[in-house]
Amino acid sequence: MTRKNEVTVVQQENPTSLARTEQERDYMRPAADVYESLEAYVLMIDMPGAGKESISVTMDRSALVVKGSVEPLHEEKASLLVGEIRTTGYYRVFNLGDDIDGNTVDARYELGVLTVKLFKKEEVRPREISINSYSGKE
Amino acid sequence: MALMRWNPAYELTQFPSDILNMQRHINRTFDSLFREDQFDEETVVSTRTPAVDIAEREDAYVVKMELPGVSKDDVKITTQDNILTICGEKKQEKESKGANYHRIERAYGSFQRLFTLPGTVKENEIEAVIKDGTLVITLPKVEDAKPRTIEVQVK
Repeated sequence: MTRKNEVTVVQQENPTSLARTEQERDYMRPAADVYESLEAYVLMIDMPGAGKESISVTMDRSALVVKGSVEPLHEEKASLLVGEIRTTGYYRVFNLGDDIDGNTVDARYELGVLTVKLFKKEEVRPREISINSYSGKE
Repeated sequence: MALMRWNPAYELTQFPSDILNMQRHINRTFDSLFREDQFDEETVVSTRTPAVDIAEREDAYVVKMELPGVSKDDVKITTQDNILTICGEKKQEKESKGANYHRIERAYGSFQRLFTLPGTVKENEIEAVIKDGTLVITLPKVEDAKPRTIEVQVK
């Protein structure tokens, strides 16, 4: 919730370019959870080791693109005995529906997880109608 | 330390069902026709066993483990009888419980990994730091195990 974990979301009027640079071509697709609450869609993307500075979130009306790079874990004068962690960066495209309000998007990076909250447009949110009890007497 | 990581998805892919494979193929072909994002579904990386890197430096061994979404308090590192154990639990966020899920790809639950130490580690000087979802454990070597440079004198 603190400000320091906030990630800036870049809004674009023109469609977000999905073309990737040569370096980004072999970036891996990070695992993500997507859930829907009454007022928003929430994306939770596992991006361990990316660091807040390397993460970019760009969106237009139809797609959201998430990128991030990982610092190579290789240290100088160190030999790798076990190497399971992939050091290529992260890249993933999420297609967006019409019901998302592009103006209120919230992104934060905490514990290696990028959480993006996409609020729904006011008109598609469910409305609660309060019920008045009727006691029978006028 | 040459432990093989068990991949539950591997056994599934070995399942000798041509129908399963065929269906996957068809799905993928259709997907690639309509999607600009041509990523293979299989490149999604998420298993219950967290991935590790182990590096050897002159003065220490360094173990790095990917633990996205795991806080400091949910990881426990112990050494006993020359075995380094890293265990913990990845908890599902409270606010997301009971929500309407579209996708669950990230792995939740408890994990544990054990490594046999080479016996040349100062067990009381092991340090661990967690940052941006990556745990880094530094295991300093005992003096005897560090390489020594012996100068050759020419007479």
